Amino acid sequence: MKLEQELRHAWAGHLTRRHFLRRCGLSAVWAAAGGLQIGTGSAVDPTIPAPHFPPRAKRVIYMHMAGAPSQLELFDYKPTLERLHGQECPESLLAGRRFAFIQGTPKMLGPQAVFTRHGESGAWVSDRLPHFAETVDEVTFLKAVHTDEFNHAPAQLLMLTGSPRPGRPSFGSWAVYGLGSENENLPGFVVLLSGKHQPDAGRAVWSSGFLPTVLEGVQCRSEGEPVLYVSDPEGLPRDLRRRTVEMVNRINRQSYEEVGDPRLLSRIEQYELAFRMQVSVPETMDIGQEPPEVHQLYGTEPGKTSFANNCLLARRLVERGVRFVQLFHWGWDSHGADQSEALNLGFKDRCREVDRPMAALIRDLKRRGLLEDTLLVWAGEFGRTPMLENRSGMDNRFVGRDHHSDAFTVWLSGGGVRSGFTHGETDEIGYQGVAGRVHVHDLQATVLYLLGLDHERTVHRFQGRDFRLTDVHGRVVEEIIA
Amino acid sequence: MEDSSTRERFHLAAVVLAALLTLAFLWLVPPGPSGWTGLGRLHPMLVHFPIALLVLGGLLHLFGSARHRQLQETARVLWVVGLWSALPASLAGQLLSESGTYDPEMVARHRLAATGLILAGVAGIWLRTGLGRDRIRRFSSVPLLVLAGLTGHFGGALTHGPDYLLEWGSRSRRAAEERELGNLPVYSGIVQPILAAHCVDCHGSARAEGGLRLQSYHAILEGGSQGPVLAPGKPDGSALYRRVTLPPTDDDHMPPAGRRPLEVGETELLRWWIELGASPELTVATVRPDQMPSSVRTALVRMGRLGPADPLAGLEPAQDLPEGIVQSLRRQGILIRRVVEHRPFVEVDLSERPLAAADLEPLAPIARNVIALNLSGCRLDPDAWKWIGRLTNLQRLRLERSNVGSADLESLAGLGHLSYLNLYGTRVTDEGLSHLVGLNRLTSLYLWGTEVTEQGVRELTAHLPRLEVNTGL
Repeated sequence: MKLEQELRHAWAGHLTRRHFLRRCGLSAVWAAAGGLQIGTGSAVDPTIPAPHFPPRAKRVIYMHMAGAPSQLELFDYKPTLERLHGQECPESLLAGRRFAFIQGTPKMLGPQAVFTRHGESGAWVSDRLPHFAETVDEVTFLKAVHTDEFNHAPAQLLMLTGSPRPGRPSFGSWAVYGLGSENENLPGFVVLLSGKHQPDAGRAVWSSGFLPTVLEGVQCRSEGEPVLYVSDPEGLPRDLRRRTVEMVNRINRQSYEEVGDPRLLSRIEQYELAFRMQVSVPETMDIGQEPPEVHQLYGTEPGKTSFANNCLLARRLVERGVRFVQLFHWGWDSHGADQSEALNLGFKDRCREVDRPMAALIRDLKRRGLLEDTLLVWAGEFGRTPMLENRSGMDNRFVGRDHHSDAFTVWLSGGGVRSGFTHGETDEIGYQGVAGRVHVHDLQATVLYLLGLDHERTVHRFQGRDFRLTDVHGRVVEEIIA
Repeated sequence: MEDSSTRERFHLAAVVLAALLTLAFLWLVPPGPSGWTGLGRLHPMLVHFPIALLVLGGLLHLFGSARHRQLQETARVLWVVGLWSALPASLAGQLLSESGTYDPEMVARHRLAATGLILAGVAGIWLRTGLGRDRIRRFSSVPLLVLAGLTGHFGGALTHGPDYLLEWGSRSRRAAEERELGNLPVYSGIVQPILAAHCVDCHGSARAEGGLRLQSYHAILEGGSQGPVLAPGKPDGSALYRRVTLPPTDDDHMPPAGRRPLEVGETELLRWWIELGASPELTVATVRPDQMPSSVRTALVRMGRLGPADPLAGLEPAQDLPEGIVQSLRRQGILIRRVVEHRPFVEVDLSERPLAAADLEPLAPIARNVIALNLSGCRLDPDAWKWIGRLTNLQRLRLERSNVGSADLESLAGLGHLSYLNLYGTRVTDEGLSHLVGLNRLTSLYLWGTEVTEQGVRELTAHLPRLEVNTGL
């Protein structure tokens, strides 16, 4: 911890005196001392940030479905769309709009799944998610979420870093920046990937941006080495490794004293964390330790990379105090251009891959008493159009929908969010939100609020102005807070 | 000299006569609205002159040197002008009281004090005119000052409420408490401000369009010339609600065109209050959770009339954390952090290790500050369990996968603020549950993988109806 303090002090050294004085009240003084403008720290130790509000959630598991899952086949039931199936899309819906691939006049596409109400809350869930449907009473649905971007990379960046252009810190980095980690031996922000590819925006969506690089998401793999380049080469005893790290860091500290580059402090901390992780991570990432009942629950495939494995890992990480676990599952971009993108083929596979683990995560966390203060978020980067995609004006080979930024569904569970609740509504064809619209920034503000952070005060000065996750927008969606 | 003396006497006579006429008007003319009542509105404008002038004159008279002629002259002038200005002010006041919207008892008190003030003023002028000794003259200003203060205070009470002066300190605290504790009275704290902002200008004590007054609960009940506007329990049958929710283009829409209509949140709150019976005593605390729709809750939070529920409210007060204690505990390997800024409460993580009472002893100076403790996966010595009982403000306790046994739970029986207890993966039995029956604030209990039975759980929840037990099934 001493090192973290030094790091923060040094970071503060970047800030000019004028900046301290311009900020208001006590937080300026502690910011100067701690290099942070988050909370006023504690009077006794300003460098351990304290949340602004009593936190409802201590940890977050954020499941991002890269590619944008179709809300019209999962959660947003539109019987009117069913009736309009096959008809030409009215001009009013197309005029002045830019679509990613749709050209000309597409036809309307009715829901390609069967919807029923579930649980005591009567939430609509399609037959594609039978396991998840049984847990809807623990979930809040946001049905009218909207974003500004309709392409994958910018939309993912907007969703996870607050800006459609790369370079900003990501959700997890902000969270750990504001709260610190609960476990010294594990990184505060861990990233787990599944599906064929990385998300379109790449590493930028878990980068630390201009925040200290120790806050970057650490990518853990569920197959092979859990964290690349952390384990020792064959034959290198741990003791020797320890002494090596100490020596390297002694030199780094000397350099720091001469040169004062704060990135050296970051590096020192990373070496030490990596050393500790050499022991803690393999142990944590070993899902073989779990009893068969748990494997059954999640539907894990030990030895392979899968969303189910990642969900189980997420639970283990969260149990050990990791603040922010980000899961990515790729392959939801159901344009219908080929089999993997077909709503009746590839999409079904994706649903099968996530259905059981999502439900298992909710159930498992709940029975371990962790759901209360762990926030689960499940989201895509945008939604899909009520129209059938007709790329270049011709029907695709398979059934699919184009990108749609105006309305999609996100669900949240645990961590202070209401149970069995739906907020927001779209119009009869699911084209636009008509009530309870939630912008991506509002979602970000709400998640930070549940963690106890005021999104307007969790800032970092860079390039002459204060930056925050929600940029200059965002309103906490109080309606969904229990 | 002679002239001035005659003039003085003449002047004195005029003052006395005018004062008597005024007092006669104050006390003898039967009160009742008349065409002159409107002039009563000049009272607030006129009344400040006499107060200022009389008080200043009185102070100069009391403290000024008797030999300083000019000072004494000034005091006299002030006094005389003050008294003269007090007369029309009192007349206006009397006219104003005839409007009938002020509490008669308080008006009477104000009138009495004003009378005393006028008499004191007249007496003072009389004395200054040559009769009486210096010392008497000097102290004659004391009753005047006192009466001026009293009259002013009663006047203020009429416009701002009887506790206006005395409650100025406690009010902001009370408002904050109200918000925290939910003792916010719905009518006076929520509904009244809405009416005051949108309706009372035309439907208030001063002006009653359509014979309707809305500045007080009584007035609302009385209704207007078209009948009652409030049907408790029936918002759609209450004109008070109906008129403000008509389409804006409707002729009957209230407020009329040109005025700011009620916001959606405000009409929601109005509706909610009427639905719940439109009682003036209803407080937010007495409303059941199922009686508060989320739209109302949001509207209240948005209006700032209801803070988000504070989970730390109701804890026993704890001292501020001693300087450097967090750092020193962390150096000893105890993971501790402040729960929220500005409050002295901390959470402690001592998970996955063996613990004896001695290991917990460093927490002793801040025992009341600890509200969350993580002992998951721990192996505690028996004396360590007893030690936990000292953390009287503990709200959340994680004991999953620890070596806690049924007997050890007895040490927790005194933790009155405990709301969350995690016992999954322990060997706790029904006997252990029996120790928890006194924990009135317990709302979450996790018992997956323990040896408790359904029967045991049922017995516990019989004592604690608000408790949710999760056995993992």
